[in-house]
Amino acid sequence: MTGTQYAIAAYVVGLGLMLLYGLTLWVESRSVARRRRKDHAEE
Amino acid sequence: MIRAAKQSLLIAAKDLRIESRSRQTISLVVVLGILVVTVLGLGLGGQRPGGPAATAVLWVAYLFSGVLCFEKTMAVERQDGALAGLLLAPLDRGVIYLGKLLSNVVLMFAVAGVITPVGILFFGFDLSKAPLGFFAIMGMSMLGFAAVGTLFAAMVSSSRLQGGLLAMVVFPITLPLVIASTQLTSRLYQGDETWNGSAFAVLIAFDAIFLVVSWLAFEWVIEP
Amino acid sequence: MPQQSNGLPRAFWAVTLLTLAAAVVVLLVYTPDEATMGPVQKIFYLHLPMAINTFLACLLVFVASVSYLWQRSAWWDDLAVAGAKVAVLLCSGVLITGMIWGKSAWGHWWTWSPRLTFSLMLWLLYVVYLTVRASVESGHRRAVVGAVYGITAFLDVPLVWLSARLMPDIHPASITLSGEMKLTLALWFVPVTLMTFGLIIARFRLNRIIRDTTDETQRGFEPVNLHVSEGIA
Repeated sequence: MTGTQYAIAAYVVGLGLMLLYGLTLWVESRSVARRRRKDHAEE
Repeated sequence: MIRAAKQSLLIAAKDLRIESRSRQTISLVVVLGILVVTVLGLGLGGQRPGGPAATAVLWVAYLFSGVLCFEKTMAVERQDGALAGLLLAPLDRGVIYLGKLLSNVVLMFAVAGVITPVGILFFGFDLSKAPLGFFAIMGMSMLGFAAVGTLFAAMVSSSRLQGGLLAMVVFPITLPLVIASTQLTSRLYQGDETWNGSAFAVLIAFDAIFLVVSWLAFEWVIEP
Repeated sequence: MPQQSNGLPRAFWAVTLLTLAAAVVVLLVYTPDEATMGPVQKIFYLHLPMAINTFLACLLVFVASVSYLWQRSAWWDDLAVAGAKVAVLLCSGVLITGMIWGKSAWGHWWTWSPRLTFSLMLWLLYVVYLTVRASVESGHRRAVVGAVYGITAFLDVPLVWLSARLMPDIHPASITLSGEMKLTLALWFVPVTLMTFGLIIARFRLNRIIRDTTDETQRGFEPVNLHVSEGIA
């Protein structure tokens, strides 16, 4: 692997971690919101 | 201040008296230490590693034995609600911490007194070049280790999942001690006259900071 | 301004992604290669901002821990956890980018060099923060244990840094930055810091909502298990 390829790999991993985490938070917030709507609807 | 010191000594004396009767903790801890040294000896294929490896082997043994030791000195208080009694007494919580710390230090030094000769025997370590330096360095390291270990033992002793929890909590925090003491002893045994001020500073700073912080934080952490 | 359930306006995320895109473009088009190390040195522009932000997140955990012990409000506990999770995330990035850089530049995936050792030790400190919390059952006790550990861990950081510097450094990497490189670095700080901030706030908001939901259901005596916020992520 050339230096450039290593650099690209590093950026993919580094940025990917942050973006993926943001994604998981977004997914979790949707499921929590859905749960709350369901709970409130049942009252 | 004198009264606080006396109270701490009383607590430590109580622990050590209980311990001297049953010798339960110390025998467990010593045996574990010897086993760890044996495992390392076998794992290293019967070779005789030099200088820095000596400190490393001993550290691994001290770490595991130490954690067990701290767990047990806290567990003693869980029996028969002894801890509740201790907390009801008109004692400053910091005094309880110092008392526990003192018993832990005494026990650890006793354990080290057994494990170190075993290590010397199994690995052919030659401490004769600078025995005082070695003991001073390891002594200071163990003090720092016990300071943090006593605090965290109180912290995790009431939680259900105990196995390995104290070790997990204490090890990362005390890694600077391992690095500093290993670097210092390896310098010592290579006859390197240059004084490794940074490493020594780490040891002193660690002991000073964590003795104070653990002493202060103990009261939040201890509960029946 | 329309707010998402993560508490931050959409504009915030738009700005973050825009600055990220701009930073990437600048990196590819404008930034020169470093003379001795070549293109792989460009990892630095992501690595350093992530490292600084890791430290800031750890500082946040410390402040939140102290505040929790002082005010005993679960608000601070939720903030501490959010800070710690993002700290672990960022530190993982620092570790991995550092390792990739090391592999490319020196041929080894791992050396016990001061920088890598420090990153590893920091990572362990805060991973343990999260796992210890997950082992404590009582919510109140968990917060106290977390706070004391959070304070201890942060106070340990300078000692960790000093002791890591004692490790032998076979390949000391000292780079002198040209004007364009300094600009690129400054530019990269923007999206990374914004993302750190955003992720912490989002995680914090989620923690708050989950706690409120759990409280509500407990008041209604219905057993609902929404303990999704403890654990690594």
